[in-house]
Amino acid sequence: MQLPSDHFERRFLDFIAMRELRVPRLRGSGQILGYGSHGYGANPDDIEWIPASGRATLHSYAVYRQQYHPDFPPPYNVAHVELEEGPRLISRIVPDEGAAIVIGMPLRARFDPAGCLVFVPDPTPAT
Amino acid sequence: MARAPLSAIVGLGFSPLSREPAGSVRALAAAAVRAAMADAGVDQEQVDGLLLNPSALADPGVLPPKVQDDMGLRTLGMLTTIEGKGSSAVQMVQVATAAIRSGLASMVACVFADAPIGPARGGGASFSNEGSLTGIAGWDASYGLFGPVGSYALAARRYMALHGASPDHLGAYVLACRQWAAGNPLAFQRAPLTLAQYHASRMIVEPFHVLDCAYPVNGAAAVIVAGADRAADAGRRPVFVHGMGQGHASADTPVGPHDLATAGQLAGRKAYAMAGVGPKDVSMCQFYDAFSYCALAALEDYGLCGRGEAAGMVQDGTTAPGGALPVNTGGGQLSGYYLQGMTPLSEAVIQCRGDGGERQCAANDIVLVNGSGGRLEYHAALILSPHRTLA
Repeated sequence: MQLPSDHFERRFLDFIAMRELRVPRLRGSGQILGYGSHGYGANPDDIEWIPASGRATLHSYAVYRQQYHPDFPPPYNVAHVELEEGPRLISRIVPDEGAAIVIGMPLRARFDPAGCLVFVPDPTPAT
Repeated sequence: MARAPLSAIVGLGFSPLSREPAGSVRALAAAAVRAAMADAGVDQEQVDGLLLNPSALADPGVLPPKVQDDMGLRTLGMLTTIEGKGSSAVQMVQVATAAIRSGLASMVACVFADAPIGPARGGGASFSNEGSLTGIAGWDASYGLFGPVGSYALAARRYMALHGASPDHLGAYVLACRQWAAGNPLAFQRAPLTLAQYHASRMIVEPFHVLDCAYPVNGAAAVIVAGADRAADAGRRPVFVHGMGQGHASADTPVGPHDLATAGQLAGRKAYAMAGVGPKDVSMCQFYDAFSYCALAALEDYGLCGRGEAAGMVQDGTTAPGGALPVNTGGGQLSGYYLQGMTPLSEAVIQCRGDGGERQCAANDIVLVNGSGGRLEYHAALILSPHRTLA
């Protein structure tokens, strides 16, 4: 048996492993929850995981110039992305060649060949 | 009717502060508490409470409760560790005050100690923990979000985009702190700094240069908290605690209409209400500024200016020496010394006592102190004053 909070993390990561980005929604109220909420302690049966549209905007980004980890040689970007449904998560932007990264820019979720969730600029943002 | 103060800070002490390995965390803590007791003119028999604040990033067990023996505090009526990340030092004063007012203790030593710089480890290496903004274990690290610097850089970048602030604004705050540090004998970075030198300094995580980041040191600082009625006995001029507040909310939980607002708002409101003052009455601020952006965020969250106005405020010199609202008058954590929450708290005590020497400000009547941690998720605040009553 898993406790609700652990179950919440596991569900999210299990979907990611299947290359699916999903967002948690409370049955009943229909409230979309942030990933960090861990469901606010709700019973796992009361949370449904709905497919995310994949549309998002760039909440913020940072560019690492100093190396902190052998697997992450700088420079590289870390993005804080806000999904269309509301939740925010940390990811990486794969920008178009030579294009600027701008806060608020529309993005689209992608899974790279390694199965890692990344975001690319979305040329056809929702209107 | 004049409100009575909640408690008083009657002693302040430091261990030696150093950029070289200078001893264990435990030994540093003991040295600071002994210095604070000497400063307060009290002996070990009078101190009956001890609160400990190791760094949240230190190895477990570096500051064990057994440190009471090293301090000569053979028997205690209260002993615990406070773990509220960067809000812990300010929380210690609050917990001590509550304990004194409830009768659990009568005089409480509160100490922060850390030794992030080792023989084979620079200061930066001690601050490379995994980010936790998404809230899913291991997720942020899988994208290379390491160190608090990255998480704060994200907040700073968004602030700059929303409010049209530029790197010059962050630089203006860094320069103001350096100007203050010039008058602080305890400050580690006192050499004059130009905006050009700031821009030329090493970039860590854009938009933060190394000069936007706290200056790590090995060391400890302690205060002695007593009941306000006992303050008259103290050898030194007491600093009265008039208001206390905390606020805690994760970075993704909205605490206001503005998406950069933090739970500092809650901590501030509570502290102001308790003291019977408002942000307009604050004459000086001592903020936890592990990164330059933290001070801008605090100015806005604690109501010293409107949303987006802090950038202009630091650029026009309001917070610098000679400005209308002195902020981090000892150089703060960037130019002074990084003892986490003890940096703003110790400087507030020094200023309230009038011991600031070259950097002493006349405007020490109502001092706002904050401590914050996580990515500005955990806040604690105090309203301090040299005056027993706030007019």
